[in-house]
Amino acid sequence: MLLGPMRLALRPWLLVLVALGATTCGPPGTGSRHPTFPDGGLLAGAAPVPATSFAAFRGTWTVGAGADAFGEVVAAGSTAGGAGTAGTAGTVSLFAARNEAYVVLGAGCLAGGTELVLEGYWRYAASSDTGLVRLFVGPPDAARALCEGSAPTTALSLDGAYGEGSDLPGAPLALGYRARPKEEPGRTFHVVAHRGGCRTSDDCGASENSLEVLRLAESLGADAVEIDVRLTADGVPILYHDDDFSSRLVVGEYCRGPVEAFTFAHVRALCRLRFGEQVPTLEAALRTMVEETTLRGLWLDVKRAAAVAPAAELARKYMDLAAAAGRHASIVTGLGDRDVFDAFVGAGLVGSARCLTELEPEDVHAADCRIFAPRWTRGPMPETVQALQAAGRIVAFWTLDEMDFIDAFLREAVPNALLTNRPGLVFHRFQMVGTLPPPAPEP
Amino acid sequence: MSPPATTPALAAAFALSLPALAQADGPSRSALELRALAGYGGMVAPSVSHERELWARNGGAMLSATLLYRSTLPLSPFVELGYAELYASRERVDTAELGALDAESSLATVSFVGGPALDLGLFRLRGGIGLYRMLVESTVRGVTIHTAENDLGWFASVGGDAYRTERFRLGLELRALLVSEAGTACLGVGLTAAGDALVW
Repeated sequence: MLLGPMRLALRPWLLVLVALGATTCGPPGTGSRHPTFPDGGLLAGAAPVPATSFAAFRGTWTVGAGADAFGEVVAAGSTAGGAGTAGTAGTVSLFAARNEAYVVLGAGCLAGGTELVLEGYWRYAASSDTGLVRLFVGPPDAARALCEGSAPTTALSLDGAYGEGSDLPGAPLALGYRARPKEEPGRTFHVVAHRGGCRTSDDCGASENSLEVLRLAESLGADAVEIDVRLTADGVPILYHDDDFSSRLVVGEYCRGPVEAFTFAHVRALCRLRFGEQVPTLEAALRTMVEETTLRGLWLDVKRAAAVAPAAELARKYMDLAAAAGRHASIVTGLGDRDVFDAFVGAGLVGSARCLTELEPEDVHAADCRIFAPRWTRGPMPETVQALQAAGRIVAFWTLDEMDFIDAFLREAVPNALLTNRPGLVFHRFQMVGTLPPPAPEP
Repeated sequence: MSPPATTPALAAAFALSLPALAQADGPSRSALELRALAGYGGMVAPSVSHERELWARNGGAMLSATLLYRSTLPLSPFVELGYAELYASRERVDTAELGALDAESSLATVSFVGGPALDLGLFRLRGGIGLYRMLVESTVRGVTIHTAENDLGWFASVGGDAYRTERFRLGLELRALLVSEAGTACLGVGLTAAGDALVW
């Protein structure tokens, strides 16, 4: 007779325990994926846009309809795709300060090359809000010119709509071309994306320090990226930020503990990045950067002294391969602490390998580094920046994500680059308030 | 009334506790209680893909030693040192660089948790928080590594005494280990033996 009431009393407890396990300790998520148009949308049946036409979209645009979601002015970047990028398609990206929004669009020509459509997704970087976007390029003669690969003679406009989630776009979005981008030969401001493009927690569509996020980085607003380099127990340089493999960044029930304890075979057998990608080798990352992107710079944030020499050697190899392929790719070894710095100097790499130091301005000269990369907490240091720039060096602050700070550093320091988790926001802010730094050699 | 098939462990716990009904008068003095558990537990999260597994065993031995201060107050603080085998498997993984790799691995945890216990007649509910050291042993290509990480997590249990004397008790306990930082959860059941090491 007692069993019935007892069972009733205990079962809720068991259910609560199991529910706790399921809700607080469930398997790691696979991250949100950006919405896509059903059946590939209009781009599925579109003809490719000539690679040379994508540059026409670069600059700033005034937003008419849709300003409540994206602000009154957005900045636009583009990747050309095609040859030199392993045949990947070009993209047009729009970056806003409001909601830290970004829009990544593919392009295609319709109706025999008389219409040009841009389709893709929008995303607020600071939240998980996302949706679809479809825009048509106007006026018709400009669209026709771009589809033919020639320069349009009239100012571009974009008219279309955006939607919420996977709903087809329904809210009007209209933009008019405003101004050319701040770009001059020899005077370049670099947007450097942290951890290969974005952090895993930012959920930009790929895990941090993955090959997939490297391929995304340019569409997120970067023209250079920072990646983290560690050695496995058997000396293979891999990309990973933390000291330990943990569920913060990887999946795999056995993928736990210090990275240096794992052989490369163990990494391959036991570990996947949070969104399912492989933990890449440094060599695979460099090959991806050189062969599948047009990224201009790669900052190797070397986490251990033992990784300095192999990282610098691979950097040299892939810079040579890039040069042989006729493209510029600056790959610099980051010297973030004194141990790593001393290992670089001790290995006889001064003068023969490109480097970046986060330590002191004097160390830039001591190791003959091209780049000084102070932490933002040291302030804009305008005199130091100017002195280094006058000496032919480059200054890149890390890591700036807040608009007010980004603006302050752009105005006061006039740096050559900013490292950020919000490449689209930095891209936008530079176009709005930034000044091109003095002429400098490529880093 | 017969218990449903889905709760045999609860039914067993209750059945084992019946003889003690007549003996249970409840604690009336302060005591330091030592309790040991030996049982079996299994991992319920994360969900493991079995696609590459050649062999697998979910769960294994679960052991613990508990020190609890019991008084006339309703809640009794405790600390516990535990060990639980969570998962073991042999997997074959095809890789681009290294070809097919066989990985023989196991995951276990050593825990140190503390919290309050509540005695309700024959039953005791416990909840706590503590440190879990997740232990991995893995052999790939003849190389064995031992790695570990420390994680914070939770603990909860419900137990009942089946046999009780003034200073000694035997019983059964159901427990959940929730290693929230590692995304791992384990449920287990075990036999308990407890005695009052010090009574005043």
